[in-house]
Amino acid sequence: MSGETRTEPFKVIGTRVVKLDALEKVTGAVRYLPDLEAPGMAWGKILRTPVPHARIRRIDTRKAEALPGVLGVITGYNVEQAPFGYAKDHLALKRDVVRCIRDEVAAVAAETEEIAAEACRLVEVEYEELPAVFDPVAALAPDAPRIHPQFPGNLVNFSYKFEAGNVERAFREADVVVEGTYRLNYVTTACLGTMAAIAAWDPRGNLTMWSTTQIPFLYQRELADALGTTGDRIRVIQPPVGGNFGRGLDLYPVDIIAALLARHVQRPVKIVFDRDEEFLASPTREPCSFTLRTAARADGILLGRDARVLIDNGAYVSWGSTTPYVMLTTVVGFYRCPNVRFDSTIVYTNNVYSGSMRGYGNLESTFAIEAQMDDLAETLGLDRLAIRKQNANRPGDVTPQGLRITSCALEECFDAVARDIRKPIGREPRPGWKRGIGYAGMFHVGGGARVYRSDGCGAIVKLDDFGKVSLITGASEIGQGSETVLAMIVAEELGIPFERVGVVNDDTAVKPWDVGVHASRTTFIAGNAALLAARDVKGQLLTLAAREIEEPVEELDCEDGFVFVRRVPQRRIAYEKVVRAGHFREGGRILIGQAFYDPPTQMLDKEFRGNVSVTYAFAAQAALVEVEEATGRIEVLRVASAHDVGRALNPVGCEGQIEGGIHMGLGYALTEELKLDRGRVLNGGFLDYKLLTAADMPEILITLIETVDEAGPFGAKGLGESGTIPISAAVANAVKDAVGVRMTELPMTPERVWRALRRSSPDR
Amino acid sequence: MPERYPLDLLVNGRHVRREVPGSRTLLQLLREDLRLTGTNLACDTGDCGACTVLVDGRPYTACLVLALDVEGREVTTIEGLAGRWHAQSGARPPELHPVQQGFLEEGGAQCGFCTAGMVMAAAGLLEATPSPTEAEIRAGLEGNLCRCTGYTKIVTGVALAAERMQAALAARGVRQ
Amino acid sequence: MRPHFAYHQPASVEEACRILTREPEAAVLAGGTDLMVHLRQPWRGQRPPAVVNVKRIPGLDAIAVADGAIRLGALASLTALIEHPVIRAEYPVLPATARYMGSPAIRNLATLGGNLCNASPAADLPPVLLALDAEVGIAGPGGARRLPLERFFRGPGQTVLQPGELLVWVEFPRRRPPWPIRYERLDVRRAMDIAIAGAALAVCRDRRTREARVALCAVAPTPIRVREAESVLATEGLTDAAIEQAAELASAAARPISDVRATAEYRREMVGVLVRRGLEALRDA
Repeated sequence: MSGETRTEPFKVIGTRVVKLDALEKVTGAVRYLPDLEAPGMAWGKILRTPVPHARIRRIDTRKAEALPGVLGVITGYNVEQAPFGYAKDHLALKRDVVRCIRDEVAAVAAETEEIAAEACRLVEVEYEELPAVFDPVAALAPDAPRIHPQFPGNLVNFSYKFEAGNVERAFREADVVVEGTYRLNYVTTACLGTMAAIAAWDPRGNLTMWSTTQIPFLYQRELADALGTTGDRIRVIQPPVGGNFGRGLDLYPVDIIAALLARHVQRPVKIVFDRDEEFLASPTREPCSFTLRTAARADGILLGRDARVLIDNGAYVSWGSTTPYVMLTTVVGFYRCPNVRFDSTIVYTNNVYSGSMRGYGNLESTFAIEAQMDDLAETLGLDRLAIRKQNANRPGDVTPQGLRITSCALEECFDAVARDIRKPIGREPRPGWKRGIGYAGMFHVGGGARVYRSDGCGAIVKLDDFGKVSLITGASEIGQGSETVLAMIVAEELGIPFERVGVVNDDTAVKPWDVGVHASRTTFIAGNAALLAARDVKGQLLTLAAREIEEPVEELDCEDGFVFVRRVPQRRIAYEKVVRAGHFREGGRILIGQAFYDPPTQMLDKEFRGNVSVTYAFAAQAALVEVEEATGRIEVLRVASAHDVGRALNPVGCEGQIEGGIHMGLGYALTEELKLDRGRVLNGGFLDYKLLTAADMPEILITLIETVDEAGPFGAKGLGESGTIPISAAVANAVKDAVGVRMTELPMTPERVWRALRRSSPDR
Repeated sequence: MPERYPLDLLVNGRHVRREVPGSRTLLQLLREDLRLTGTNLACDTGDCGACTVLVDGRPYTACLVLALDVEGREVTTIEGLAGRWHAQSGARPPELHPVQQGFLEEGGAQCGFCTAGMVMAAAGLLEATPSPTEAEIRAGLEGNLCRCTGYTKIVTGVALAAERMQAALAARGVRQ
Repeated sequence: MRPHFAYHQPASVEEACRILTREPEAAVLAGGTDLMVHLRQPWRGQRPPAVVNVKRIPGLDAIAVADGAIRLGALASLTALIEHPVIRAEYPVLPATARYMGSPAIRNLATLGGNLCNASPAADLPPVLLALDAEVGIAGPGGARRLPLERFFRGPGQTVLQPGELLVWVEFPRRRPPWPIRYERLDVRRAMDIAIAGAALAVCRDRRTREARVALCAVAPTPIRVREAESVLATEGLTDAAIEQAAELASAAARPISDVRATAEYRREMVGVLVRRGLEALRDA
């Protein structure tokens, strides 16, 4: 951010460091939630419905309760619980009706995991199956089964609707209009570490939760509501977690059930999902049907867009239902397009429900938009890169919603990937394979995102009398390296070696408030908070040092752990000496700095207007693929990925996020699909839910472009989702380039490609 | 109560004697009975590799192995990998196994949940194939899923480790 | 967690057969890469009261190379198959096929016998072994017997093994020179996937022999040979016309199902593609 005291050359920022927790992870010393035990802990297991839509006629838990080693069994009928969730349409333990195959009907606490599982099998439940609906179009029909009595027509009553300019006229006057409908299916985060919770009540009625959440403070509040207690009685601890990618962005039945069980049996209770359960019950990305029309002039300038998205919400509202917020932002703001319209229909069905997943609606909207940029180029006879650069967002733009673009290097991103994708690959296409290149860009929030009322994060920086610095940050580490980059920021600002900074971030009783990990906000928001807090403590340090060195504060600076006099650098004093001098005396003081950074942005108003982020992230990707026409197989040989990152504070971390993001995006493009049939998950395992292996990955060429954003900490912007967002669009465009078929459904499995090839040319 | 059978094996260089039910897996023995929680349980069906350990130097997915089946064998887990390297190379604590060191330097771990299994699979690969090509490294790790890294820095970490292992063992005159 | 079972660790084939005769519901444990997975999957309903771990029976993992035949012990691991010098030299199709299966760690555990007895219709080795004219050796309470591999499979997950019987070896004649054999497989990922379709092809036409083998997996309840295709190739050799005809006959002989991995229609078409590809590779070699 501007006003920085540190300038280039940097000592820590931009260097390649070892992740703060890497040593624990490579030695096996790290303790994830499943590795933890509380004294007297019992194991919890959840019993779920075998059918997606049914009335619960009878539950009999007596046999389960009688099993030796069982401490207690709870159902929706013997506990106090309040509805939770964004739409408050969800009870943790179901009463009366089950609405999807995840639904939790009972939970058992027992001395061992095995006994708890056995007891679940002994719970007798009588279901009366109800007619069910598994498709949003069918669910909208007047005679469709109703999922929730209070929501007629199965409509989720969120409205994401926006219009700017004159869309009708734009389409009338356009030289070309392209349109398409794109089908995006269920995928899931598939984290290696499953969802888990440990709940422990103390005799005063205070609850401690160990959780895989990534929104500990919101979770604290919502869990309290669900349990009928108050947030001040709940403490949330976040042990190291085996991935999240958005999974932990909501409160889920497992959290409430763990707490209810623990309260019921008066012992701490631990619930850990096994892999089957993770695939079944962990939130997915929302499946949708995305219809888009784009209008353009003959010279390639975009005139208008009109998008309608139909979302299969599943049985309950979680964060997946709010992804049209981001879809809207992309349709309205990605590439310059003055006349835009967006509307969404979100429909309850008896399918599983979706949460937030990395990219959060932007993958789907970018897929549609970038398919049509290529279609436009083809129809108009224009170069595919040229049409993108021509319409690219630029610094100073304001989108029709009012998003203010400050730093922006989208065109440079396209140039970088165009250059990298064309580097010689060293071999010709194999016989029977055709090669193609495809491009796609993206635009996402990069300076926080005010989707909640607050977008703030608190930080405390403590300097001790050994010269060690503790950063106590509200931001959570979910494996992405946030604590590492925050430590780098503090180290840089305070002029100390990176190794001297420790980070505390895992306990709501200790750390200051943060809204949570989402929207790629952590480096920017938590980074600015850490920077401000570091600056605060630095000021105190210099003031104290001035007294010790007997020089005015203005004459002092700090570097390498020493405060020194600028004009006579040999006159210096180590931090630890300053701090000791500060408090080992009468009337002493300690050195603690603090800040709460809440950016100058607005929530969108009822018309979806406003500037939700301080700055925006841009990227472009290119994919070089080969397609085997006989089988439909796609092989991605190379991905070029260029990112306007503001500043690469932690280059290893940036690359890691991009490489991992590409893996997730390629899975979305090629192999990952959670298949449901009549509401039941068919492929809930790693054998048939196919994550790409190390042998499947292409060469990845990364360019980090530093626009040095004036608002970001040392100029940095957010990056966590950017690698994932455009890649499936780039691959689909590359397939089109290779074999001439426009794939409109993901994933592009060999069979789907083969069918598309046959349809387009039956003699193939 | 299920019947228990005697079991005697080496884990990370130490003798372990237990009595275990027939159905106990090696993974359960390690995590629950021996409290070696460094090896993670991620799928329990051999599909993800997170529970990879070395048995007599060869990678096995511990979730598929009955504890009784490793009677008399030598099991190495992530906690014992550095010790195994010390015995092989003469290196001393706190030096890590070159694969661990490679992961640290290259950034091969993000959330870390796959890391123990990945490191063990890589260590096993390098014991069998000391100078693998990139393709061989990727094939050697094809059974270890990672959701965070895209494998790029895992592969460069293993390549770095291979070079260093070769050099260290050669310096010591150790034939492979 | 897996259901509890009584555990047996016989020291000999005879002891194993005795236990299996006494406890017909017992499951045989070889590498565990199938059984240990099935025990985790409640929908299979597999809760054997006992498990018979045959891995301590000496000699069952041996790979024996004789002048006339190669005999693979039922407990030979896939890794052992991949690493065996004679197999690598004379029958490289076996290591190449084994490398499609699972991952290195899985291949360290998985055994040839376990894979055959699991009788997955999609298993990769059976078509290759059929192309090698393999026979299996079975031990049981009634004595030992041998039969062609083609008669070993009855249906998905089912073999002809009777209660008390144990598969002990797989043997194939050592042809001199070895016939060139190719295995072609269709999958989605480079590792860990089960085949969507697979085809093993072999053609030998020299002064003494005019024979071919066309064997398929993943497109019928068991692995199958397509004799109509074999006779076309044996008679006409690897001409364009014969290759095309063989591919079509193989496609027609396939009886695939639609499942979560692929539709029947796609599998049937891919059989033709794989057979054509494998035969062209044999021709061009």
